[in-house]
Amino acid sequence: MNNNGALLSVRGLVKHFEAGFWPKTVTTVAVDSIDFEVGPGESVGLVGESGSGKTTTARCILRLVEPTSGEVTFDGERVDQCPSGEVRRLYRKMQMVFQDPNSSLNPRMSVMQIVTEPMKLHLGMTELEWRTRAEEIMTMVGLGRHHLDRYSGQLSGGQRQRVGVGRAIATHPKLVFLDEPTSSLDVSVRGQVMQLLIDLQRELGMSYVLISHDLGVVRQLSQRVLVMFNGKIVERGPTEQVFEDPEHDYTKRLLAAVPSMDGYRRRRSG
Amino acid sequence: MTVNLVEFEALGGYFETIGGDVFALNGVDLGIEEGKVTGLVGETGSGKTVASLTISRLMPENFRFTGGEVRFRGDNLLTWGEEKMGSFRGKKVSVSFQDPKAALNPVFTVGEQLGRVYRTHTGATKKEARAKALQVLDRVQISDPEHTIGQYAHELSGGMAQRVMIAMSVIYPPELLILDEPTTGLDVTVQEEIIIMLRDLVTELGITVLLITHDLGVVGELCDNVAVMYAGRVMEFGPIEDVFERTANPYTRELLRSTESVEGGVGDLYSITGAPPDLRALPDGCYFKPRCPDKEVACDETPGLVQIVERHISMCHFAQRLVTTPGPLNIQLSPDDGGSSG
Repeated sequence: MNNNGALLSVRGLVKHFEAGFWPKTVTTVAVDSIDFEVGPGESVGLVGESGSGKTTTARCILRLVEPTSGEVTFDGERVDQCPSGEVRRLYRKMQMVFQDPNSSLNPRMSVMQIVTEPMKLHLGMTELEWRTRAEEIMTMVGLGRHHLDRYSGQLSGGQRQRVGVGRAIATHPKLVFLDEPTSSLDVSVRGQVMQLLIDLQRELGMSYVLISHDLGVVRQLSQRVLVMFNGKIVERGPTEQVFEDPEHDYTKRLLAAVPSMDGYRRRRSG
Repeated sequence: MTVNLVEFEALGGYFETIGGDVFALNGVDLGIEEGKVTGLVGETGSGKTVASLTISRLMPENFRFTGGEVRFRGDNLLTWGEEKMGSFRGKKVSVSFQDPKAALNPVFTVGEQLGRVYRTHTGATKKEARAKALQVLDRVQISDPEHTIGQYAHELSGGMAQRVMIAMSVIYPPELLILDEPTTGLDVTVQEEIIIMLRDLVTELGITVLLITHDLGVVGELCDNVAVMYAGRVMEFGPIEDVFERTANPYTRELLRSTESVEGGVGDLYSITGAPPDLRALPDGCYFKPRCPDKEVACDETPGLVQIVERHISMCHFAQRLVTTPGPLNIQLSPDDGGSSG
């Protein structure tokens, strides 16, 4: 049962969404029986286009939506069998950085409140402890102590995403889901946040599941890639292998479509 | 010979807000060359959308001009009356707005919206307008125009809504087409389809295009000329080969490097330190100075526009020096294709 030391193990995960009213309900298969594992300290990229089921997969694992069927084992515990009242306990070790920091940070909470909320909830820290920890976290994510008194509206996009990362790492999680962590950022600061994520992983030894349609980001951050299409994993392998020598047609198409400076080079040389 | 369809000269303006005046345009100088595709790139808040909106004078109510001109065929359109503007919009210039799902009217079908645009400009009958709408939907590669024409905005996918938005802006071909972030928020494969479709469409119509985007990759695929904006100023402007390969402005160079490193996904990550300035409290001198790796004492003075070659202009004290060092893209071009001229 111990899955060869995998931190997260997903077996036959299925999620159906039903829309409309009986008897005319329409069932959409968002995640269609997928299997994968994430090792300790590993970073796995989950790529695919909108509607391919990558975000739903993460939400099922985190029990933000209830999976239809399948087994999810995290750190030796069956997440799918965890009573709904206790799911919250899992979030001490499993966290998520959301796509859009503008909408995922409460505008009425100061950065201090945002970052310390999970510590108060999960670690039962005293005020002195969480204040000290909050300052530590600010340094870790490249912000200053003075940012703790600000509200998210007073921060730039890059700073907000740093706060989102700070909140996620506050409780020393073992696994962090990164849902499009850089797609709302301008290119001049995107690299800063990516570098931060790389440094933090090296420092803290967490595992990442990186959900992204941005293949450049995946290539920089992940050791392994899973390519999703219509709710299925159509290709998997070490990042360089998948990028250099994609097997599935969909992966090939995805890689060819990335708008990059290569388009300009092609135009210039062609 | 090159002719500018639209010229911006020292255009300035700000938004009045409760939190203070936000200086969105701080002296924009730019010429949009007739018959060419000009890219306007910049990060969030650099003023690219506001600058383009001044051409159709569709700025929000709290916008105030501080000076400068926007000339269409040499005529300053900021002095025109509302009536003259009314016949100018849509006929001479049309805008394909960003976020098409929000820009399309939710209570009218695609056909009604397209038909109305066409009938307003041509006085055609409903039947003619419908035929024209079907034709233009087909042109933007909507797979089943007969079906789409009866749909509402919420029934469309992101890519389809973008196609409909583009169809609406070209159903009566304008002299100037403004495309605001036509590929943002779309999946990469759909982006690619839209880029190819736009390239053909622009060639076919032979119109002047102003393409607003934050994505230098899209500029590289579509544009003849490019203007790089930062904090409400045009930092560098010129033919794309000049700007990309003989870069004469540190901001452009850093932006190209960041794009290459982030999108390419190989090599070390590169980014510009710091963040764009607060438009309510802009620094003295060059706005890029606080983040610029090449800054010197002279940068406390606002740089003038430096002409490198005929149409290549940079707003930097050291433009002449920078242009002699190879641009970021030039380094990466392999010798066999680096020599070909555009």
